[in-house]
Amino acid sequence: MFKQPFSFEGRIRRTEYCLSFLIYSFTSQIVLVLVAGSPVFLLLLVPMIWFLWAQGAKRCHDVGNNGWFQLIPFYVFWLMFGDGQRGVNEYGSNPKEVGSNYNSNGNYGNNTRQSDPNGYNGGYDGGHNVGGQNSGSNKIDFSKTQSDEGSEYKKGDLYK
Amino acid sequence: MDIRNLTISSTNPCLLVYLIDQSGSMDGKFGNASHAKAIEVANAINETIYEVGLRCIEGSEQVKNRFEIAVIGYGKDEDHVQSAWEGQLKNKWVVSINNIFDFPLSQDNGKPIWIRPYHVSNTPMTKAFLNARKLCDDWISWGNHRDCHPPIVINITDGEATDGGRNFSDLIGEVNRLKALRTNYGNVNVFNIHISDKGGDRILFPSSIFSNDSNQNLLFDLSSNLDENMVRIANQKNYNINLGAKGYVFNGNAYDLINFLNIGTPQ
Repeated sequence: MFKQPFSFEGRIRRTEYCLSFLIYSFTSQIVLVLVAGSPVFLLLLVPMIWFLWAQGAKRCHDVGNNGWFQLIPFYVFWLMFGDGQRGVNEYGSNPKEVGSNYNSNGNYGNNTRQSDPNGYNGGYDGGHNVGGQNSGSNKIDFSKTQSDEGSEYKKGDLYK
Repeated sequence: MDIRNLTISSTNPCLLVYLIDQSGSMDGKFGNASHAKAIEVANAINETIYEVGLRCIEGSEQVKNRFEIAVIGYGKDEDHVQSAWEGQLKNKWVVSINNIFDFPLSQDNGKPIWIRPYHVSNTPMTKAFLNARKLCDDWISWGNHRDCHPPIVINITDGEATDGGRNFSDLIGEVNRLKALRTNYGNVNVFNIHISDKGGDRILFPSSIFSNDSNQNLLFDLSSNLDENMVRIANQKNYNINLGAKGYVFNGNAYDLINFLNIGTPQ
């Protein structure tokens, strides 16, 4: 979260956007009280607005729209509560998916790593994990062992 | 648009689709090796996925989503075709390389593996290409993918399709429909790795072929030409080929197999 708060590139989640909005509101009130009317006010206002717009643009990207959409009146509510697009869109990967795992329902979900029932925790560690059990690709039973065969590809299955 | 000016990136990823023959005949020995062809193929794909992932690591060891990969198995269960991902990725179709690195099945000699070898039933190759076509069609229509590198489909087989139709017309039709799909940077590429039981000298990236083996001729004909970039990479790997070479390998050894998969993967 808040990896590149002043960049207009990429996508962010609802939580980050809401927090950004709160930070902006809180900070602007303080600045207004402390330095209203002085040239310092303008100096502080520019980065604050830049920050809000950058975060807004990334949240627009997350819901699949151009950053200019945030200028639409009341659109801010959609940015706060609307669902982001699943999978990759033209602005980048889904921020919910990056660095996360699939949850047990097969959906992208959270950043809590799921435990493999066989003890392997997933996540490549650069080859240093000696604790990971090597099932040995050459040592398994080659006959079909799984009864729950998957089905063929159907339209819309792309990132299911 | 000129593909030479295209950079594969996380905003313009490339789709790689591997079609793996999991038919019963894949239990035959791989060349002079003591292990089965199915094992060699699984090893080669695991190695390639690993190398592709390493190429996408930047900075703080984050794997950038420059490639998205589908692995489709055919012949593991009668005439069925299914996604070959297992474990946490089971029943997923297209998975981004960063998610793939998050969920290896296990490790083998300190390297992650994702695919396991199977050799079970028939060879529904036409159906596999049909699945690949539907998947590529969806992928190209998704988001900004029309502005991405065209998908690369690499079929690895040891034999003859059991659902090819009369004179393999069904198979040929399906592959041609797949090759007709395109992004703004060109058509879908279809490459074939042919591991034959019949023996014979290895043939690497030929531009023409003279063979009595109809299956060999067929797979050669179905293969796309290597593009300029792939020819360059092949030459860097000491394969002396020119433009016009096809993405077809016959009876290559393990080294050729991995090299081919690397050459077929855009840099």
